[in-house]
Amino acid sequence: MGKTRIRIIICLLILSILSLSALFSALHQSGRMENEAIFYRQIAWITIGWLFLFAFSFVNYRLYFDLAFFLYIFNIALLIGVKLFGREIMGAKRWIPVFGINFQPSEFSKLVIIILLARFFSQDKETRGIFLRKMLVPLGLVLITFSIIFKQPDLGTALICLLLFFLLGLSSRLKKWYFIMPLALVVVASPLAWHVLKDYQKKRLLVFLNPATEPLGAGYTIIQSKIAIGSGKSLGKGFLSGTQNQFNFLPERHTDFIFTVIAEEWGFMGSLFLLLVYYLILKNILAIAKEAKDEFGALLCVGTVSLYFLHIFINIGMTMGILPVVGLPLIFLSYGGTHIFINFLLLGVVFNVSKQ
Amino acid sequence: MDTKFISRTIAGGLLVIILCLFYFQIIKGEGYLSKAKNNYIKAVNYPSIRGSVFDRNKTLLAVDKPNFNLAVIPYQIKGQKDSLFKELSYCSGMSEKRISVYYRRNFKNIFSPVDVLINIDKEKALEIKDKFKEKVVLRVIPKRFYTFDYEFSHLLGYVKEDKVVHKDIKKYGYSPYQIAGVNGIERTYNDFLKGEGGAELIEVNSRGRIVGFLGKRERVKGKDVFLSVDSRIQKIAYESLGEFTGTIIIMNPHTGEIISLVSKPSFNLNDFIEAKNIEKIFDDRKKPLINRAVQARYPLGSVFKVIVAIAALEERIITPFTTFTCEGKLAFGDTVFKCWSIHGQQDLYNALAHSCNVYFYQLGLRLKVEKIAKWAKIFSLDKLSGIDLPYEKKGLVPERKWKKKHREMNWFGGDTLNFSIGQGYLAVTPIRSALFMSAFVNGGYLVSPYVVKTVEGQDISYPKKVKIPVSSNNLKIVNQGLRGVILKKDGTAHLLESLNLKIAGKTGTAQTAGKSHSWFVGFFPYNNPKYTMCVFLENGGSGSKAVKVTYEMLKRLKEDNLL
Repeated sequence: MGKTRIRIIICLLILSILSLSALFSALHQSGRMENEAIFYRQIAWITIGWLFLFAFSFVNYRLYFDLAFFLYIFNIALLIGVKLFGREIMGAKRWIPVFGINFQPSEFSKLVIIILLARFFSQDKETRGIFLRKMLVPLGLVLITFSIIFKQPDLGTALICLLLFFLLGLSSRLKKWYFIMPLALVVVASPLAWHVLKDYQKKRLLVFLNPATEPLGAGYTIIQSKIAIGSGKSLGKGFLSGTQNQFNFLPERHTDFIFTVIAEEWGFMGSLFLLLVYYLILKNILAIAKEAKDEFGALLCVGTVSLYFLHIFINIGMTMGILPVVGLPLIFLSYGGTHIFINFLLLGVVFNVSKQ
Repeated sequence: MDTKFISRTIAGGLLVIILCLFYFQIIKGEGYLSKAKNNYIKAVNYPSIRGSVFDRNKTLLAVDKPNFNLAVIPYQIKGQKDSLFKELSYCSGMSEKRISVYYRRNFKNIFSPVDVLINIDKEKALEIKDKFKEKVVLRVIPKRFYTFDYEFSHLLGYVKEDKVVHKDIKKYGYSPYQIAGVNGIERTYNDFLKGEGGAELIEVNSRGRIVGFLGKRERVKGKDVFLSVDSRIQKIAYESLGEFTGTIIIMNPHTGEIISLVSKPSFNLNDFIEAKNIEKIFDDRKKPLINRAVQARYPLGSVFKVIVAIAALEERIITPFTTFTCEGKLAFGDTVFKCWSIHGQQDLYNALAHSCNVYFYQLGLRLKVEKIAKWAKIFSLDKLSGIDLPYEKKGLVPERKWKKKHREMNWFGGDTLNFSIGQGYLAVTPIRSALFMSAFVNGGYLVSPYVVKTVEGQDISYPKKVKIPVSSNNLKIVNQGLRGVILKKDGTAHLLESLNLKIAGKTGTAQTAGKSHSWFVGFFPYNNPKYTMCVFLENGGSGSKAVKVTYEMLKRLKEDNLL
């Protein structure tokens, strides 16, 4: 096994341990384990994740090149299926039950979009009609996925799909202005998007701009999260000793706000360590991308890195109140089935690129 | 494959996160830590119990009684406030509006109990608590109660909620308020009376449920204070004033102990601390809140002749047998200064007994303003008495310099004549007049008056005596003259002789722009004085009015065997 892959595996082991320890603490309340089932389920998800990693590292990544369109259509079908038959949790339809597990097709979309874009951006070097074929067609396809997910509503995942398009595009050999231009257009048009947003999304944005407007309502989470992170200071309050966490002042702390628990209990040093581990994973995947046999493989790696990075940046940003709360999990750490599978699975794909 | 773009994006993004973390955790960390503590540490307050006040016979005058309040915790009644208030209103008979007003007024934070039903019957409180269970909190709060509504209002003063700073635990919801004395004994002895509020510091979770206990500060009950005042005498003194505006002071001339001190008009103390009819009291033109014994000064009128007499004797201007002739008036310059009668030839004894103005004009002409002022100051008429009651006013003894400075006029001979019979600019507090009279009967000592004798059994009165440079022989001469005021058939206070108490003293009619002030300052029994007293009626008319009030009061005191 290559050195790069071993480094990644070591980092991933650290993350798995961190995930379980942070979850263990997050599930405690006033010194008592409140919800053991969630902890054991996460152990199961992570174990399955590791299996996914090794299984997919044996699947030749070229297969995805051929399956790209099929996967895309399949994903769209799933998303529509969720729309029609999905299970509604907290006002959003994002899940469909599969074998007793709430499967989240929008997580699957991220994987599909990466494969799809890698295919589009890596094809031959024809010059005629490039703009149409390499830029407008994939953009259109991404926008279809974006709209469906946006309507679920799942603003975070929808935005990630869109951002993947730009990050992958700008990393590809295609002309930069293909992507900078529409990106500028999106920025200019974003005020118009205000009218499309759901009430609760508008509220989230408003609260993001000024959490104090609703200290007990929507702003509560941000305020309490900031207090938790800040009060961790340089060395943290210690494992199982975060008062914000232990006395239940942090909502959603085992899912989207797991970083807050780590920052409160392990402080600035702990947070830095976590970021270092993430950085090493991303750096090693990019090293694989550089060595990749073909552009499609490299773009799959870059797509994976982009996805990881967006999750890390947006999730930690929202726990600190510098980005709006859009409901994105922290990769490999937050509790949850689908996103853990997808994260491990993507790494499996990357490993296969590395092997070839 | 070129990974520069994505590498830089990642590096930039992670750097932003690290900088933000540095800002929140390192730079602002301390502030967030205190906010985090603020979140989960709450204080449950136990207000202190104030010490009680007793009179010299251990009759209770002021005490903290338990007051039953019902409170709600805002966090727990979120969304059901209106319906809860409706039910509470139905059960208690208190209007919903009143409950809402209390809720708004007493709201501190969403975790702290807010009193919505205040001072309700104990049985009722328990009944409501039983019915509403966890929705309401029963709180027992100490509340001041005064045994006498009116008689002790000025002496005791009153209390109100006052902000005190407890910086260390204030931020956890510790009540920044404590009951503090605002006037009277409650103010002067607040440090003894107040005690210490207690608190429990607890850990709560986000639902306000108690999950831990950090510590407790026991409350300390305030110390009990015992007055030298006799409430039975106080009551009679108060009643004797009737409808008059004024004050009565009875004290021990040897020690300075105040035995009674009343001021009228008074106000209902128990209503006042509950802010009932408070506007009426504040708007009253007679200013009932003023303690007229120490917080107001008046011209002394003829009572001042006692000082002029001792001055003339001490300065060897007269002997007791020196006589002047009163023809009912004295011409001085262009002005004629009147006496209130034609007394004929008068020696000191007669002049005091008859309160003859002409006699004292003659003394004034010989003493001049300087000597009169000198002796007024020897008797400290221009100084604070140092009584243990707040906001005491100083007296005013006029002089040439003073007039030049404050009236921008020269001192005229006529001013001296007015001064010598206690008119003009001279102004003295009633307590001061009782003190100088005490000096005449205790052998020439100025004593410091006090109202509080002991605190929690410990004597805190430090009898302070200052000897006045005056011969006891001269004092005796004046005292004999003062005895004549009552003893002689034509003395101005002869009425008092029928009480058979061997009273001596001096009447005074101090002219004002309106009705005269009426004074009687005296002592008894003549041979071995036990009491000095001052009866002062603001705009009460001639001195005989004060004599009448004194008579009625002493008669009742004698009948009740209180002397």
